[in-house]
Amino acid sequence: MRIFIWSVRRELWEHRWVYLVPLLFGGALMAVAAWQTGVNVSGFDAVAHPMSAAVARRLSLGFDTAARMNLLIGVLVAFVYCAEALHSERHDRSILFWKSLPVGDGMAIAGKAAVPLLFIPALTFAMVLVCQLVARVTFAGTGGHFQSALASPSAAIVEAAVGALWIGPLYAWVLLVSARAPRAVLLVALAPLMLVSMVERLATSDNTITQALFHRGVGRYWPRGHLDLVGGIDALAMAPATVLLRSASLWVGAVVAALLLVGVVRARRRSAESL
Amino acid sequence: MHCVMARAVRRTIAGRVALNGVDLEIEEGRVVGIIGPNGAGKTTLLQALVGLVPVEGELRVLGHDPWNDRAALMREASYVADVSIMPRWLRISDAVAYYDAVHPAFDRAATDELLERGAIPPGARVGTLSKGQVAQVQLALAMGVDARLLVLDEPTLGLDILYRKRFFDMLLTRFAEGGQTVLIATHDVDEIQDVLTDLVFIDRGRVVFQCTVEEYEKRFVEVHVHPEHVEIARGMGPMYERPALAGRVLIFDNGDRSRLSLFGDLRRPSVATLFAAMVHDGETPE
Repeated sequence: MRIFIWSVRRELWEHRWVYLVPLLFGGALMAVAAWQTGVNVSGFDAVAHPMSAAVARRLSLGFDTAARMNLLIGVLVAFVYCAEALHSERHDRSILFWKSLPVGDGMAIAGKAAVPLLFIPALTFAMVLVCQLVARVTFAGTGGHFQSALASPSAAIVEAAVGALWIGPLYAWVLLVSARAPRAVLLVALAPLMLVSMVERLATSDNTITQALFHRGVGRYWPRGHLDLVGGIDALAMAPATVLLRSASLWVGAVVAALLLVGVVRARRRSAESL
Repeated sequence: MHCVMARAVRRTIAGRVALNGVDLEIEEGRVVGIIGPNGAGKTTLLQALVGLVPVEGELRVLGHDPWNDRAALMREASYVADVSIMPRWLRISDAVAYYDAVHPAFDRAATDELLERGAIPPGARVGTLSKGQVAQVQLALAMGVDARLLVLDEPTLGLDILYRKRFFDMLLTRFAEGGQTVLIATHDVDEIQDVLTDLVFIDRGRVVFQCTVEEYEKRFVEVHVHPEHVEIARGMGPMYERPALAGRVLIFDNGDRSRLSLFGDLRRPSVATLFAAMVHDGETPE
């Protein structure tokens, strides 16, 4: 456990932006939501002029968006991290330094996989908690309260954990490409997915695979108003985390992610050969 | 006990043979120079010894199979390559803390003391240090590990002569005195030959010669021969000769020292010269 924790720490030393970007952008989004909502709730008073539930729901939209955007930023940061995680240590040859220490490839990959699957979800969960707190303070004394699917700590933690598990296979895929591709990792990772989408489009004039990939990736947290990008909403991907948790798709994805991570360990084991 | 035991070790990289049936046995407590030209297979051999690359054949290091048991092996071994492998973003204090956390045989106090003596700021990142300072950091980290085996692969590449001397003086003296095994591949072999106990010559992926330094000193001798005596000296069967100012230098394996001394002063050939002699396999370039 000690080596695992230090392996994660070592990743955060190298990729400091993994926590700086969510803190910076998430903080800014929250500040905007607090300012905008604060202005709108200023005329309400719990005793003299209480806020109705319908109005509270409408005025919660700013914080709800900020909370969802925190999760989306976390996912985007996780993808960029996965692309860099193994490529950078091969690129600067520092893998020879890390491999001179008694840390196995399995442990090193566990530390790397923990960043998108544990650390970033934990960070975004903490950001959503702060968002809930700021929303409570903003709505205090108005008679209304923050209304959102992410309004409670338990909902937020389940969402952060299940969301990471849902996207897990794609994180693992990008990690695998990061361990093998000589350059342009994200492009190489996306290329086969885009190729499959294009073939599907040409062969069937349909975009089921494109939709499935999008919803497996960032679709769950993509702004609802812009989901036409890939032709609509995937009911399962948009389902509450507790529903998703009971779906076979989530667990099949988890198994695929585990298999891909085994592949990442094997790929890292042979990484020094090409240096 | 054997520290390294290699039998018919072979490795092919993209159709090119990097190791071509290496047989090698190294006892514990030896300081071994791995000597060979660029592309001879030195780095591949050392990387195979610390489990960085897989090989065919039989290979045991400190009783471990390096490829399948790297993490366990590296608890007892230390590997230092050139300074460019240290990640530029890494803070020195973080490097020390990481070593301390993951290496069971790491003495943090020893490393801290060496870093302090070298005036290396703990908060500095590797990328902000000079090559010489990075070498000092590597040295401090390596010396903090109480390893049974130290593997050095061109650790002073790109460093000036002062840093090279300081590096080898501190590292090799400490490890050699501690009874640990040291394997070192370097181009600057003449700078370290005084601390070596064994020589291993490698060429085109094969170990072409292996001996102790005692044997090397006893067997090989070179003599600077005046041009008019060269033909007579050649009659005594030199293994190699090379041109020199006012004559030629001839190298003999188990030559008759009393007769050879008639041609001039006898000297021990440098390791680099002996390597050239071995690799040319007795051919005498004109």
